[in-house]
Amino acid sequence: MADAFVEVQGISKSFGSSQALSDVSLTIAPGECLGLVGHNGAGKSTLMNVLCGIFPPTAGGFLLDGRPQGGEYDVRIANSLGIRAVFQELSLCLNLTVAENMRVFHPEFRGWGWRKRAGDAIMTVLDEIFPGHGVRPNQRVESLTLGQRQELEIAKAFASGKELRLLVLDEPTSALDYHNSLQLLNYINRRKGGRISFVYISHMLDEVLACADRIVVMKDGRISGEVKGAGATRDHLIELMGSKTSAAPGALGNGNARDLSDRPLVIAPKGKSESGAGRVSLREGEVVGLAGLAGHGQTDLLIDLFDWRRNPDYDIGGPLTFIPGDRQRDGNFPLWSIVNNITILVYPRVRRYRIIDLSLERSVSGRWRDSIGILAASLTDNILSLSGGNQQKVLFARCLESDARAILMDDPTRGVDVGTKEIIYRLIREESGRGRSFVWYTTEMDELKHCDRVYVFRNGAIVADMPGVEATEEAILRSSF
Amino acid sequence: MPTIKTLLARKWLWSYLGAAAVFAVIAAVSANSFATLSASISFATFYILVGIGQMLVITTGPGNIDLSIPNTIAFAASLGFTLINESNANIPYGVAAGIAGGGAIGLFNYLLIRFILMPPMIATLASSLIVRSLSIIYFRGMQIKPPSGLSWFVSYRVGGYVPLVFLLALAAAAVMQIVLTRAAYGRYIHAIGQNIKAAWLCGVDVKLYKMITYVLSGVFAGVTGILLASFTSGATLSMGDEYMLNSIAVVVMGGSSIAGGDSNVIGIVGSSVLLYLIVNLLNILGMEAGLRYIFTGVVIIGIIFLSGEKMRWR
Repeated sequence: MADAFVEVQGISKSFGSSQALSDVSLTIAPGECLGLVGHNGAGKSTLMNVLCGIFPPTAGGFLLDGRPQGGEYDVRIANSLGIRAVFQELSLCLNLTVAENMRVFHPEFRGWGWRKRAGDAIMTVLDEIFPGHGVRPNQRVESLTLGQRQELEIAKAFASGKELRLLVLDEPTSALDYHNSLQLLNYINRRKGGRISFVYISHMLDEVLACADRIVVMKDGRISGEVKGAGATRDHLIELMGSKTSAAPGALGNGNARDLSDRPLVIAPKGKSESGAGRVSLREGEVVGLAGLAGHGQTDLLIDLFDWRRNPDYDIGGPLTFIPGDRQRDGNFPLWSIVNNITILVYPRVRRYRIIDLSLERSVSGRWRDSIGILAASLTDNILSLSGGNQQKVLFARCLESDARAILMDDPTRGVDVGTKEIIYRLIREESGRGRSFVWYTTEMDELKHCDRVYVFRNGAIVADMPGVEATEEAILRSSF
Repeated sequence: MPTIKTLLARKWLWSYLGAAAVFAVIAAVSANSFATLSASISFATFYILVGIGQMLVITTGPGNIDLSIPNTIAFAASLGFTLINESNANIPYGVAAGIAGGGAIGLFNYLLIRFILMPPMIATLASSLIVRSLSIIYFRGMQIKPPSGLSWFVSYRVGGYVPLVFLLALAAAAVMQIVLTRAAYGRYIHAIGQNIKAAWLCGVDVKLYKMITYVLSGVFAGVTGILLASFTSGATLSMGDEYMLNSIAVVVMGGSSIAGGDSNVIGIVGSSVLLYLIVNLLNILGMEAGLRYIFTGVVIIGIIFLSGEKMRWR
């Protein structure tokens, strides 16, 4: 085979204190289809973003066609060198037609009759990859189904006047049905071996196995294994994704498996499950972990539980509180002080004659500052003057100050420093000891060790449920994929 | 002790400085400047009351605005005065009906926003049109005279200079200041205005508090309608027209954020007085109506610029 088209040499990338990639080296040959798999946060997307010029690496570099790419490398240069990507989030303009979208992304369609030429180009590719797609060139994208939009997104990458050398497909089939996914895989298998290289990223291991010549497994920002496409098995890939490089194999779960079976239920499934899918139950003082790949229904369950009065599936003993992971979007009140951000759940407790007592408010907040170390010059400072970790402590203080029996947590340690994480783990341990219950969705395998029970999600349903002591990383991965 | 700089950072302060400056000019060019001030604060009373209602709505977040205020004012006054029928004995029923009518229009606004999913700007304009049409049908577009008791009440001046209604408006402003900063309702609408999703995740009943807010805006407009029509010579169809833009102007000039989540009652008082002082100054100077509007516009822009309100367009 010819020289590598892409040669990645020891790339590292960090965002603040978190290391997304460390010393990754990789080659992609012309015509090769490379499969890329790994758990959420393994670094797959970060690596591809670097290749596509979306952001530069912190250290290391890469060669394209044997030529090193320097600091000026960006999306435009990547595009001119024939590198294109199809990401999970669709980039189409909904208010434009199919042909007009082509013009937006491929400016070479210009001059008289560009609509016709752009439309013809995209139709040719769509007919080739997804026969029977039902898309018309003068149709507005908003009138297409989600699946058709995804097909268009994929076809668009091929239907350019310029040469395509490397196509990155990041979860391309998440919106496609089985039939269309097969069409795509067949097309890749037909096209590879020529000049175009593919990187196929997917949690659907069977798809990766069906098209990849070679499969690279990533874990914690490193490459943890590589296998030939032919002869690879699901089990082998899952094993490579798992605990091989982890220091402590075995159970992740709560070591001192507590017996809480005599405690009252805070959240209990109502009636019989129609689909037979598993459901969560939560006892007083219990810490329940929600595992599985990101976006497989964990947050939806938390929101449904939070909306307790309208939840048809569960009996829930009173209002719960919610700690979001995305502080800026779902947690902070950005114009308010730290004090005001803490006390919003507990006005009845800081009021005198229905008027909020400012000194009571401050003393409540001051107690939390002292006990969990909110690093602030003054509690009347704006919430945004705090670091991300301290903002998250404020959200914990807000929820723990309330007397809700259970606290729902949506990946609450996202983007939080190690010190703050330790404080959060301690808080959860102490509070659960006092009888407070937690439902904890986490994207970090390690955090499941704080849980008494773990539920694994796949495609919006609970597919496995195990006591903390039995929740090994391998068992969780096996159920997730 | 606050330094000059921290004082000037208080956005509401600029409207008071502006009012003081305009009053100084009036004192220089006019013989009886206190009479002018007294007249100005009488009219400013109405700006303060509708301004508070508008501010509550704006506080609930980007896009929230009440454009039905002008026609709510006219409708409430016409309804109230029709029931009173120039008889002082009927005043309590008429006033109650006017205020209830204002609240009902606010509720109708909210229902359009919530159930027909209309943007507040369109919903309140649409209901405004309906209300105006109702006024035309039922009140025939005629001027409806106030009862003598209400006329006396609104023109009563404490110590000969200070209008009683202005003092009552100040009291209402003080109460609302406490409600907004120290009562759960006020905190909740600020929370909703800053981050509606976070507010919901804190268990705040977003729909309930938005409804209360639109109703309150209607109630404030209703009260204003009754008082204004008593102050002038009666209820007319177009009596509220200038309150559409000016109710928004006093909110923004007073230092509240047009994007919501940050309100300021003190500033509304200052900017209401400032706006009417300007009108009176220009009258004294004999400026024609067109120029008056231009000058008022320039002052509004200037105050907003000086107070450094950064628009958080979302």
